[in-house]
Amino acid sequence: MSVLVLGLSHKTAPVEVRERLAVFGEGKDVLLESLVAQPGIDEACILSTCNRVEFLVRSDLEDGAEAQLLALLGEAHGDPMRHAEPYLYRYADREAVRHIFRVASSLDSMVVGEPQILGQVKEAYQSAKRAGTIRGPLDQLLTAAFRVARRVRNETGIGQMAVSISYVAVELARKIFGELSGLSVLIIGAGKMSEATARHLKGAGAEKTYVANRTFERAQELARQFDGEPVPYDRLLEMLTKVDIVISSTGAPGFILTKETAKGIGAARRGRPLFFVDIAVPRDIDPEINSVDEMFVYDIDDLQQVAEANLKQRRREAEQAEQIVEEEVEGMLRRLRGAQLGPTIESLHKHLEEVRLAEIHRFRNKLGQLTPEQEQAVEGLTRAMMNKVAHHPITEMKKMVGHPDGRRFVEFVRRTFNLKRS
Amino acid sequence: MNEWAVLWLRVALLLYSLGLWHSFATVIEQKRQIFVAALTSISVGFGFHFVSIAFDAWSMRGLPVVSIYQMASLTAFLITAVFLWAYRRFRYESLAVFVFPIVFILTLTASLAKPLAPWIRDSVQGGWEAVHVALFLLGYAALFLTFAAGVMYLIQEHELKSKRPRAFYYRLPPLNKLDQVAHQTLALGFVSVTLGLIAASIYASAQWGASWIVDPKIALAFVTWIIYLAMVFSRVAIGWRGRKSAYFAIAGFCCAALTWIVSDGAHAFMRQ
Repeated sequence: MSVLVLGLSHKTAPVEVRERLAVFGEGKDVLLESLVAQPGIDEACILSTCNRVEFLVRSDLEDGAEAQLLALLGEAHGDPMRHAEPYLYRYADREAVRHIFRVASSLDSMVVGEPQILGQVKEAYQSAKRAGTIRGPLDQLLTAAFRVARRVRNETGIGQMAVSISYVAVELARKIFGELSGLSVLIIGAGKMSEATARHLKGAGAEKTYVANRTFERAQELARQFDGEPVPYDRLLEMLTKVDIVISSTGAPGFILTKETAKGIGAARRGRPLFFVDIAVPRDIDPEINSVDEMFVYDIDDLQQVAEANLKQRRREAEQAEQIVEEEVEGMLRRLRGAQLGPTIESLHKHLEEVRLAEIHRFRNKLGQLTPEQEQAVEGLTRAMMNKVAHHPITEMKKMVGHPDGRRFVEFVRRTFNLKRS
Repeated sequence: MNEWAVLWLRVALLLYSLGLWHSFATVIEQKRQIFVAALTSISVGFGFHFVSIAFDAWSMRGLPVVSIYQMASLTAFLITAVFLWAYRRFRYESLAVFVFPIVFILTLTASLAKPLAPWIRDSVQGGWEAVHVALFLLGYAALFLTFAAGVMYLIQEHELKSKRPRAFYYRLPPLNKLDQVAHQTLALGFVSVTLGLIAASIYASAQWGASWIVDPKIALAFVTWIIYLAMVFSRVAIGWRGRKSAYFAIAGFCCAALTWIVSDGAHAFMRQ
C-alpha cells in the first residue's frame, strides 16, 4: 500500500495554470468516482482551492498509481493537463503524509498560519467521504491531519499575530488595553478601512462607537451604519477626553489634532491610555503625539510595519510547528503500516483455521466416538499447532514493518500460504 | 505624659483609625465610599486630641514638647489641623488618603508613651514580633511585584511607542493589565506595611521604651512606608498611572532594597 499526493500550488504554478486544473462541485464527485474505479486506486480525495489543486490517493500498486492518476487526469482535463505537468509535485508515503500535515496546519500557505485552509481540507475530506471514496487508511490520515493542525494552532503562536492592517489595529488595542469590553471608539471621517477596523473592534468586544464628521448629517448616516452614536464635530475635543480608541480618516489637508491640544487632553484623562489609529493620507493626527504619556499614534505605515513584523514572527513560530509535524509524521507512518499488516494477519489466521477444521472433519470417522475430554484435547492440540505455525511469520512481518524489503516479505508470506487478496 | 492626656489620646486614636480604614478602602477598591464618615470621625477625634494636649500642657504648666511622644502627638495634631482647614477651604479630599495614615501612625506612636497593659504583656510580645516581621516581608514581596510590573510596563510601552515589535511585544502582557497588577500589589503592600509598622511600634516601645525611634533601620522602614504612601497618593490622588507610576515603583523598590542592604537582619538597638 502507498499514499500518493500529486498536485500544484501557489509555490509551483502561476494562477493561469491553477485555475484551469481547479475542480468543483459535481465535477469533483465525478472525478473522485472515476479515480477509485481505476484498478489499483483504493481511495481518493481532491483538495481544490484558489491556491492549490491536489489529488490524494491510496494505492496497492507499487509504482503504477501515479501513471494511472496522470492518465485519468489527462482524460478529464485534456489539454490543460499537459500544460500543468511541469508544475506538478509528487509526494509518496512519508513525504505525502508530511505534506498533508503541513497543508492542514497552514505551513504551506501563502500567508503562513492563515486559518481558512483547515476548513478547506475538512471540506475536501467531507465531500470525498460523501462520495464514498475515503473508507480506510486515508480516513485515518486526514483525521490525524486535523488533529495535527489543532495541535500546531494550540502549541505555537502561528495563528495569533494579525497580518492584515485592520486586525493589526485590534491587536495593538489589545496590547494596550487588555480586554476591549467596555471600551469606546470614536470614528472621525469615514472610509472602507476605518469601517473595517471599527467592525473588528466591535467584534472584539468594544462597547460604544461614536461617529464625528464635518457635516452632522453625514455623521448621523454613518452612525446608523456602525450602530453607533453621532457626535457634532465641535464636541470633538470633549469626546477625546472620554473615548479610548480614535480611528481617524478625514480628508483634511493638515493635522486635525496637534501635540499641544493632545497634552491638555492627556491631563484631563488622568493617565487613561488613548490609542489613535490614523488611516488618513495626508495624516490627521500629529505623529509627535505619540511621545505624549499614555498616548499611542499609529499611522498606516506603522500598522503595515507591525503587520510585517508579525508575519516574520509567524515564520519563527512556523519552525516550531514543523517540528510538531515531524513528530506526528513518524507516529502516523507507524500506524499506517500497522494497519497495512492487519488484513494479511487476519487472512493468515482464517486460512489456518480453515485447514484445521477441514482436517478434523476428514479424520472424524477414524477417531471414532470420543469422550468430551478427548474432544477437547483434539481441539486444543490442533489449535496450538496452528498458532505455532502462524507465530513466526507474523512476528517477522511485524519486525519488517518499515524495512525496505518489508512489503516484499509480506507478499512472500501471502504466496507461501496461498492467501488471496481481500 | 500625663495619664489623662494619654487616655484622651487613645480615644482620638480610635477615631482616627476610621481615617486609616478610609485610606485602605480607597486604595484597595479604588472608590471613595466612606470619606464622609471618616472625615466626621477625624474631626471628632481632633477634638479629643485637643483635650489630650490641653491636659498635658496644664499638668506640665508649659508647652508639651519635651518627650518624643509629645512631639509626635503635637505633630499629628497640627497636621490634622492643617488638613481640616485645607479641606474646608479647597475641598481637596484626595489629600486625605495621604494624610490620614500619617496622622494615625504619629498618634499611635505618641500614645505608646504609656502603652495599654494587655498589649505589652510578656505572653503577647512574641506575637507582635512575628506579626510585624511577616507583614513587612509581605510588604516587600508586594513591592517587588509592583517593581516587576513597572519594569515590564516600561518595556512594553517602549515596544508600543517604537512601533517595531520585538520578542517582548509578543511575550509581555497588555499595558493595562500590568498597570492593574501594579495597583493591586501596591494596595496589598501599602496595607501590610502600614499594619506592620503599627505592630512594630507597639512591640518596640514595649521592649525598649523610647530608644527605638532613633534606630537607623526603623528610620529607613519609615522611609519605605513614606515611599509607599507617596506612591499611593500619586496614583489615587493625582491620578498618575502607567509610565510615571512605573518609574515611581522602581524608585520605591530601590529605596526599600537599600533598607535591607544598610542594616542586615536585626535592629541596631537590639545589639546593644
